[in-house]
Amino acid sequence: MGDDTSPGEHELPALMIRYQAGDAEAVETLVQRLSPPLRRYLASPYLTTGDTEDLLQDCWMRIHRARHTYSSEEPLMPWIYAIARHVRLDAYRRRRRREAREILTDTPPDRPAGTMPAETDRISRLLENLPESQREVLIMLKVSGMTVEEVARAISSSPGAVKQKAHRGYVRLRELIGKDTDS
Amino acid sequence: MNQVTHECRAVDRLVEERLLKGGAELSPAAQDHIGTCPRCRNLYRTFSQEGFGQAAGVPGGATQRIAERLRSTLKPVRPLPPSRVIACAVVVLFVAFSAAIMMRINLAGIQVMSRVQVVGVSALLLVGLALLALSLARQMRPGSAWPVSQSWLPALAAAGLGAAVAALFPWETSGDFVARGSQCLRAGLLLAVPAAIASGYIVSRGALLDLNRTGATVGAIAGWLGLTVLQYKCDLQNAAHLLVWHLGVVVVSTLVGAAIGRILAHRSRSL
Repeated sequence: MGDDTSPGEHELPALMIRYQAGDAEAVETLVQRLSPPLRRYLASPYLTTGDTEDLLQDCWMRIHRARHTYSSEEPLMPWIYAIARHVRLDAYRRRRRREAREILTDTPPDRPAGTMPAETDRISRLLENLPESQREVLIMLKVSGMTVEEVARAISSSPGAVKQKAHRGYVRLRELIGKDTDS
Repeated sequence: MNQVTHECRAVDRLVEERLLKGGAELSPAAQDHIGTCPRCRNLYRTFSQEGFGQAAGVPGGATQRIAERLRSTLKPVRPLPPSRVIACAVVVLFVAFSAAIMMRINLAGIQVMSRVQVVGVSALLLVGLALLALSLARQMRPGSAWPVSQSWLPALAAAGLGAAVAALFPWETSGDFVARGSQCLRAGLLLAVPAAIASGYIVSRGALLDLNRTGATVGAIAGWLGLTVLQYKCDLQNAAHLLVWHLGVVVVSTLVGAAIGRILAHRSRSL
């Protein structure tokens, strides 16, 4: 679990139940509280700020359509992140298909300028060097403050496999940070 | 280049422990080391709240727009029943449907099988059905826990039944292996069609994230129904016939289900 768990995190399932019951205030609180970590999870170096916000909106629309499938017996974050993961994968596949069809007539512009704080941007650049499966596990553990078991549910995997991915990602990131420090 | 010392490794372990379990406190020695070692300070900072843990903000206007959009179509919804209830409903429907078919046909297979064969195969058919139904129910709900890979479950169920068939039934050959077998395959697949439609309807009530996998599971359940009816109806109870043609119903329907799921997923992404 990350050390950044928000104080009212245990209230999230209660808010979700109110959302299912049609409470507009609960919707607003959930969107405000969960959008920052979700946006960080959905962000990618290949996406502009606008694209990321479109993805975030798409993610919330899918959460909205699937809200009846949340069960109060189950933890909320794996449910949310399983949907977000699907949105991210879909966007990735769409982009790859589009790129395969497109014929570029000019050199593409540099990647969009980051709008994140400098430290977050530095970490995002480091994370770009990790395989997607390791990157998403590290973000879920650190940014969203999920437990290993919750991450396992979100990515339909076992806790053992999540620990292995986190370990590999951590080792790789540690090497990169070492090089970064040396330079 | 900075030398990685014994203290650096201790910090490495501690940061990883905090990543996986959270809450591990820094010892005074580690704190002192972080103060003097740029590598460890950088590592610690990256995995701290100011670093990794900080989620980038979302402009207030964007969250307002999202909340506004959700509120515009907000209605109370009835939560999906628990997965075990959905799985039980699938099993009950399956048993009722196969019983209704079997009441109308001659169950020559039961007369040919020994008591051990009937009990063994029936138990495995029921266990396989229960696992597939539970898998289907869990796929309807994102973020569900599952101890084994759901993608491999149809293959595992078929392999388990196949192993039991190979052990319980005699290996005899008959001259009409292909002619009789293709009849069984065709009949099994015909039975699978309405079962697939019914299972597809149930599963559409949920939020399906992996249509390819869900399609395969729906196909496997539908094929399982065809296999169950064939098992009690067919009088050719030898291992080769059962493994190739009866289990073949499950294999074909699983593959067809996965292919349909793949097409649906592709189409939904194209929109």
